[in-house]
Amino acid sequence: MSDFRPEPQRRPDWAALVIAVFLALVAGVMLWDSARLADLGGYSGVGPASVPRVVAYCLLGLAGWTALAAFRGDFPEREPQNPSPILWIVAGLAAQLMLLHIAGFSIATGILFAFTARAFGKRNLAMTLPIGIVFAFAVWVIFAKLLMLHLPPGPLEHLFFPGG
Amino acid sequence: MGAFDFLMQGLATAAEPMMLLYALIGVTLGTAVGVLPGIGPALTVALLLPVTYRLDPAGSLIMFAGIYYGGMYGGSTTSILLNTPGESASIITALEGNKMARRGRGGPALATAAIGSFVAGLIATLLLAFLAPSIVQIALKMGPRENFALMVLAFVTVSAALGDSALRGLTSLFLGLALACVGIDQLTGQARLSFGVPELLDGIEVTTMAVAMFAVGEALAIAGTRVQADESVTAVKGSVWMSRKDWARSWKPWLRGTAIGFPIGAMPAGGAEIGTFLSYATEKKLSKHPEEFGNGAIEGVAGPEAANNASAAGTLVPLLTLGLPTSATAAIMLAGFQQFGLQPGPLLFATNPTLVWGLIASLLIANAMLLILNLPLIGLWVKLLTVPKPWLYAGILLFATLGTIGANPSSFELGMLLGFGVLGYVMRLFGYPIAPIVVGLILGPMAEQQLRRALSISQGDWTVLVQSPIAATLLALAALALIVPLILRARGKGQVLTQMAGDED
Amino acid sequence: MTAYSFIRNVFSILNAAIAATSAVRQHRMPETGALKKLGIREADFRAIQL
Repeated sequence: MSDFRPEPQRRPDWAALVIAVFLALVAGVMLWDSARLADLGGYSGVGPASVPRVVAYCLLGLAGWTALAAFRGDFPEREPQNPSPILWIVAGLAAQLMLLHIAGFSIATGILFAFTARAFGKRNLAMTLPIGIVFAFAVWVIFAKLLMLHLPPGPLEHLFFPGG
Repeated sequence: MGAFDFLMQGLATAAEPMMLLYALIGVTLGTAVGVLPGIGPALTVALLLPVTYRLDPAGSLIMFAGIYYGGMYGGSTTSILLNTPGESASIITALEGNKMARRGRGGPALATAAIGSFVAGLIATLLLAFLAPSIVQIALKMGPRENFALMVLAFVTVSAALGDSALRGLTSLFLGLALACVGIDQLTGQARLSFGVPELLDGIEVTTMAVAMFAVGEALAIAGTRVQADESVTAVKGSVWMSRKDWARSWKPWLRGTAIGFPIGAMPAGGAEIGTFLSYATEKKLSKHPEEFGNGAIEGVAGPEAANNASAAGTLVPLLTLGLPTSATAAIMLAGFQQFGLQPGPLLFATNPTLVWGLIASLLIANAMLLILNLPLIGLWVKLLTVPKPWLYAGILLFATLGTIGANPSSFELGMLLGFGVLGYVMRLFGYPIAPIVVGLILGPMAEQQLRRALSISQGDWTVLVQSPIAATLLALAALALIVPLILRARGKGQVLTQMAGDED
Repeated sequence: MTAYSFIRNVFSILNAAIAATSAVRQHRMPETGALKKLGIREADFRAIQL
């Protein structure tokens, strides 16, 4: 075969090792939680704690396997990532969840809308923010007033629908 | 009563004006999301789950099925005109379809895709209708242990058999199973893994998790990618209609594509994509014009497009008759049934035949609607492609959070959406498949219930699981599906495949 | 074509289709061998924007 490539350098894949630790942590939490359950196995010997325990042991095994793969460099190559758009989207979602009950659906969601648009290249927040709030308000009217979905109102919604 | 009578009754249900409206909304939405890259049917159905909570169950399910079928149609449009598949099941269509479009034959390419999808959808839906009663007969004889074995088989095939790494597939699955343990235990009422947080007592909301994985995770992944492709739409030149020769070259690939796609879709973990690849390979082997492949052979569009629609119908066979989802979209549709308190499976055929047969019959109607939506109205869909990315994704996230807030207006639920969204992004980044975690979360509680029921019947004797021939066969199949790919991969990462390819040439 | 080589051929194509599917689901290029087995030109496949 002509396509013999030189052996890639064997360095541990640190990010993959973090995943292995995370899996082990999840397994640990599950084992700790299942230990405090009263195991009412009854006839079958299989109670509420059994399945979480089995899943936890499997996760522990997978954590070990992941660590092994990390040391052997078995993980596929990752594409280089741009951190800033990701942070904008995460910030948008975080802002929405914190402001939802204070500022109401339209304003909170408008911020998410503008931040997401910024992550994808529309950088002018002075333009996207009003567009987002108006759009979110229109959505609020349709879904909260027509489809009777419960979407938290805020000052803006109370301004237009004082009764609700 | 035979399948035919049931189907006729179903048609009567599905032809009610309200049901027709639901089907129309479904296929229109489905085509739209199929056309738009980045959102697929799984995400769309997940977004609609909270909104349809108060609507009619039959209508909503008909709408979901319309979205599923529509997505398969719509995906081909972008493949042909843009070389950018809207769905992964339409990738193969881009191979020949885009070449045809560049040579000014975009019209016939779109036509053979749409008509092929129609033919395949029609035949496959009829196959579904006539196969379902016999599978239901078998399924009714299955007890808890057989059901458990069936779910184990689904777990293994979804996570390990398909996918290039059993490790990452299984990790994704077990994370889903771990999440499935959260909440109050169904049998004893004890709180598990809820750490005193009242919101966790009800368990992890399937819709929150699915929307987070498919919408937030995907948006983050696309935002983070550095390479931004430029897109230019190839205008449809020349006649939209197929010539006599196009018809002569298309009809056999349509039928073969259907024959390949349907069983693959019905298999556990068969995805629509496998069928499209197989159909392409078959058409190229059988074609009288192999030299045209790679330069715009119409067979290479007709076959795979028929195959992906037939797969969509095939996926509904295990979902409706056994309650077993074999793809991410099917898993979300299962969640759709559950939100109305319905459990798809053999019992539903007995307890609610109107709904099941109405749903199956509505697929025939949806298929006809899709043909009309996609051929004369093709220009409209092409316009959708001009929506700029920032607005598109801002809108997707707006509706993603709308669904979550609508189902449960709490900051905690939005926090879960954000958390799972980041998890979905990290999983994509490291090459973890998404379907297993969703299937694990949805099927996990059902599998646990069946296991515990089987073991309480046997008073804790685990060997009972392999004492029934059906259960033993299913578990053996699951073990094979886990071990064989592992061995194949261990024998030198793809070298086996390359070698086989070399042997045959 | 003997029955054995036919069956082997069918399975190797199926295998290649499964491998290619798992690759495209994760927005990655399938392996060259799998694409070749399926009769797909690698350059054409690369041109598609996944």
